[in-house]
Amino acid sequence: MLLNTVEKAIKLAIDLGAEYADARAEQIYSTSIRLTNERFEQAISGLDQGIGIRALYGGAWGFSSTTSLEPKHVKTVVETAFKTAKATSKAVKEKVTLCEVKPVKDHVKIKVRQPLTQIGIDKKLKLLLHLSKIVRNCSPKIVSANLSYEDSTSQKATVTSEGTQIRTDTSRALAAVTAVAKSAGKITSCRERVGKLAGFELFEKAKTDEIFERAAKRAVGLLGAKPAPSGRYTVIANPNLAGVFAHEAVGHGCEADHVISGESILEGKLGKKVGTEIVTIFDDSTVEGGWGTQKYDDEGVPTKKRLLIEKGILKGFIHNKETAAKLDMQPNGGARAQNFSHRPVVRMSNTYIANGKYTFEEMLKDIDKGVYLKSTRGGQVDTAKGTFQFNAEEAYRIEKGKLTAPLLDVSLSGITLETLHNIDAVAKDLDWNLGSCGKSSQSVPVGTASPHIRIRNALVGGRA
Amino acid sequence: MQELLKYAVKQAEKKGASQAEAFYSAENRLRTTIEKKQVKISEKKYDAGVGIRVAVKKTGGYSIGFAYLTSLTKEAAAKTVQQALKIASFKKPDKDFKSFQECKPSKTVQRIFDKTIAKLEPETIVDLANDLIKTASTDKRITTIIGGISSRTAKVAIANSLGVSGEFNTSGYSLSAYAVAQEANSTGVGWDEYSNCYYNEKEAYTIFKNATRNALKQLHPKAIKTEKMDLLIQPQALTEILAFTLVPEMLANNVQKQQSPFVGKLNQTIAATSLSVTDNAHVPQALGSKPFDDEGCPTQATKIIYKGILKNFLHNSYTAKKDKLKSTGNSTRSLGVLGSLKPKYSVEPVIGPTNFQVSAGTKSARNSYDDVVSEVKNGVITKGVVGAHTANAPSGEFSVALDMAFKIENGEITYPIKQAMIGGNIQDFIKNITMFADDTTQVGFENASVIAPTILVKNVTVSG
Repeated sequence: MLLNTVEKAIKLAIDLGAEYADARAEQIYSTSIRLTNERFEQAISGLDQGIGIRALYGGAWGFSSTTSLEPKHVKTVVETAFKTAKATSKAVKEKVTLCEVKPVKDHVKIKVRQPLTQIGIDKKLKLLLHLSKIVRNCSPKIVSANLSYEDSTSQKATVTSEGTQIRTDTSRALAAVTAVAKSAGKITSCRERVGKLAGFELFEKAKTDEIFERAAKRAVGLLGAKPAPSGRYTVIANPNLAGVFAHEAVGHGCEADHVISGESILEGKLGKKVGTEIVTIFDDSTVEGGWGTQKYDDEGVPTKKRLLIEKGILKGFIHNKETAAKLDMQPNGGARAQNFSHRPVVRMSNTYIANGKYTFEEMLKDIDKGVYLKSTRGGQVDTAKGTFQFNAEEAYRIEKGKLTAPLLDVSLSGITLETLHNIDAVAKDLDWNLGSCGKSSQSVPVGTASPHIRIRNALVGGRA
Repeated sequence: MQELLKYAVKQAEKKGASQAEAFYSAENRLRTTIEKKQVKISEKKYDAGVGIRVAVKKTGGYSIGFAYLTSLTKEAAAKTVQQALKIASFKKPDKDFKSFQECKPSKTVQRIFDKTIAKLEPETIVDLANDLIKTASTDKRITTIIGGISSRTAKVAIANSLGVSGEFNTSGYSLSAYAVAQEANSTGVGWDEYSNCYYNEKEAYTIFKNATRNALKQLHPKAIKTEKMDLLIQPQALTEILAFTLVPEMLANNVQKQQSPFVGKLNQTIAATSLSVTDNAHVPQALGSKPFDDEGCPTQATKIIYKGILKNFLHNSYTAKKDKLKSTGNSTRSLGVLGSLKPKYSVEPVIGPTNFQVSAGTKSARNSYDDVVSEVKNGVITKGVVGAHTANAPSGEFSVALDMAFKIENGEITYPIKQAMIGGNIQDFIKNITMFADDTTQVGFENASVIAPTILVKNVTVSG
C-alpha cells in the first residue's frame, strides 16, 4: 500500500519533467512516556504518517512533504516539490549531478521477538515505575528521578526514479534516566540510557536495572565534587566521551557535504596525516542492533562500514549520491532523514575509535597531573574552524598516576587536528553509547563508541 | 477545524472522560538553503494534526490520557479518543490535577501574523537568496557562505469540555548567515541571524553583510591567557546560556520538582538590582507572542525578576493549581529547550517561555553600546557561545566555549580571540551584571524568543 503510493508519486514527478526523484512514505506508531518522581508527565501514543518527495530539475533540488497519504494531497506534494525545484533552478550556478546506483528491490525487517505494538501501554508504564523505584531507593540523597521511554515501530517505503524500491520495517526502543541528587544545597545529576533496534525484549536482556541504578550512584558520588581547575592538562577521556569526540570533532568533518561546502577542516587532507598513528576511526551503518544502523540509506543506497581515519591517515568521507559524484568517489549510503517530512542529508551512523593496546591503568600510571573526564552531556563542534567543546558529567583529578578528587561539571574544548595529534594512548576497552545527532534541523539516532583515550595538553574549563 | 475538535471532545465525554480537550496545530513552512555561495535547495512542508487529552475521574483524583492523530477524520479522531482513554485507564490518579483550563475572556495580540508570508512563493525567496549571495561575496577572502531564509505560517485551534474554544494564526521569518574567510593560513568564521514574525528583506541584507564582516574580523586570532575579566555578552550568546539555565529554572514544573536553584527564593534578591526579566506574550512581532497558550489560557506579561528580586515563576494550569495560583499562560506543547523536534499537536502541554525579556532594572544601568564597551578595561566581547545545551539546569552550572569573541583593552575592541571558555553558574552570573547596552535584539528559539541587549558581566574567569 505504502509502496504503491510512493511509486505513483515518483511516476508523477518524472511525468512532470523531473530529472530524478526520490520519495519516502512512512507510517510510524510511537509511544512516548515521561515519568518524574513516579508521576507520569507524559504518556503519549500516536500515529504519524505522510510522504516526502525530492525532485531534481535543471540541476536544482526541490523538496516537499505532508502529513497525509490521501491521493489528492500526495499529488499536491509532488507538484510542489517539482515547482520548488524549478524555482530554485533559476538561481543554481553549479548544477547537481548524482552518481548512478544499481537499483535495489528489497524488504528489510528488524528481527523482533516482542513487537512493540503488541505490548500494551500498561506494561511500558509499569517498566518505568519499576525502574524509577530502583533509582529512588538507591539513596536518600536522590531527590528526583526523571525517566523517559520512547519506542517506535515504522513501515517505510523508499522509491527512486532509478528503479529502487525498498520496504523497511523497523522497531526501536529506548529508556533513559536523569538521577538528581542533593545534599547541603548542592545539586548534581547523571544520565544513563538503554536503547537498541529491537522489540520490548530489549529490557529483559539489557541489564536495565543495573544501568539505571548506576545513574543514581554516580549522581550521589558527585555530591562531594569540587570545582574543576582551568587550564591545559593531560586528560583521559572515557569511552562515552571519546566516542562523542569521534562523532563531533572528526565525524562531522568527514561528512562530505561539509567538505564540499568549505565547512570542514579535513578538506584537502585525504591521504594525509591528521593524527597520531594509533588513531583509527570508522563510521559503520552495519553494526548489528546499532542505534544508527540501517541497511539502506534514505536515497536507497546500500550502506557500509566506512573507514574514516586509518592509523592517523585520513582515508574517506561519508557520502550521499551527490557528494560522491562531486568528489568522484564511491557512494557509501550516508544520506539520512529524520523521517518522511525531511530531506535526506549526509549523516553519520555508528561512529567509533578502534581499540588500541593499553589498559586504563597503564594509561593512568604515568600521568603526574591530569583530569579524567567521564560521560558527557553532549557536545558541539564548528567543523569549519575545527574546534569542539563538550562537557563531562563526571570528572576526577589525576595526581601521580592515581584518580583522586571528584570534580564538578568540567568541559573539554580544543582544536580537532591538534587534539588528534595529541592522542598518545588508546586503550583496548571499546564500549558503545547511543545518542541523537542534530544537523540541518533534523535529529537522527546515532551510535558512538571508543576505548579510553589519553590526550596531552588539552584545554579543560572549570571554575576554580 | 472547530467542528472536528468539538466532535472529539463530545466523543471523549460519551466514552467516559470527565473532561476532554482537543488541540489542533498546522504549519506551513518554506525554506531556501544556501551552501557554498549557492542556492542549494528549496523546501515546502505541511504538517497538521490533533492531540486529544482526556481526564478520567477515579478515587483519589483524575487520570490523564493523551493521544494524537494526523489523519484528520472523525473516524480517526474517535479511535484516538479510545487510545487516550486506554492510557488514562492504566495511569494512577493524580491528586494535583484539578481541571483543564476554564473559559476566560480572550485577548488580542497585535502583529503576529504577516499576510505577506502567507503568500510567499519559493521564487521570491530564491531570488532574494541569490541576491544576498552576490552582496556577501564581494570580498575575495570570503570562501564560503552558508545560510537560509525560512518562513512559516501556523494555525492553532483548541476546544475543551469547559467551554474553551478559540483559534489564531501566527507567522515567522528567520534568517541565518554564516561566512568563512581565508587569508594566509588563517580561517575566520562569522555569522549573524534574525527572527521576527514579519517578512523583512532589508534585514536579510544586513544579516548577510554582518556575517561576512564578522568572518573577516575573525582572521588572525590571538590566544589569551586565563584570568578573571569583564565579559560583554551579546544577545545571541546570552540567549544560548539562558535557554539552558535561567529559562528552565523559572518554570514552575521544574521548581515543584526541586530542579531549580531558585526553589524557595520568591521575593528574595537573586540578581543584581540592575536586572529585570519579564516573560511577555504581547510583544508585537515577537515569535513567542500569542493571545492564548496551548491550553487556551489567555496570555500576559509576567514579571520574573524585578530589580534583582525574584517575583514569579512561569505556570500552566496544572502547576498553578498545585501552588494555588493563577496560570501565567505559559502552557506550551513544544518540549522547549529540550530540543524536541516534534510537532505541537503530538506532545502534551508542559511549560515554556513566550518572549523572555531581559532589561535594565534601573535607568543608570542603561547605556549606549559604545559607553558599555568603553567601560571595559580588560575583557572580552562574545557574539555566541558553543555547548550551552550541556549546562546542568537543576544546578545552574554551565561551561561553554566562546564563539566570535574579541578582546577588549582599555575600552577598545582590539583583536579576535583564538579559543576561550567561560564557566560558572547562572546564580553568580546574574549577580555580576552591571550594565546594559541599547542594542536590544530579538533572538528566536523554538516558538519563543529572548529579547535582550548586550550585557556587561563582571569578574568572569575566561580560560584561554
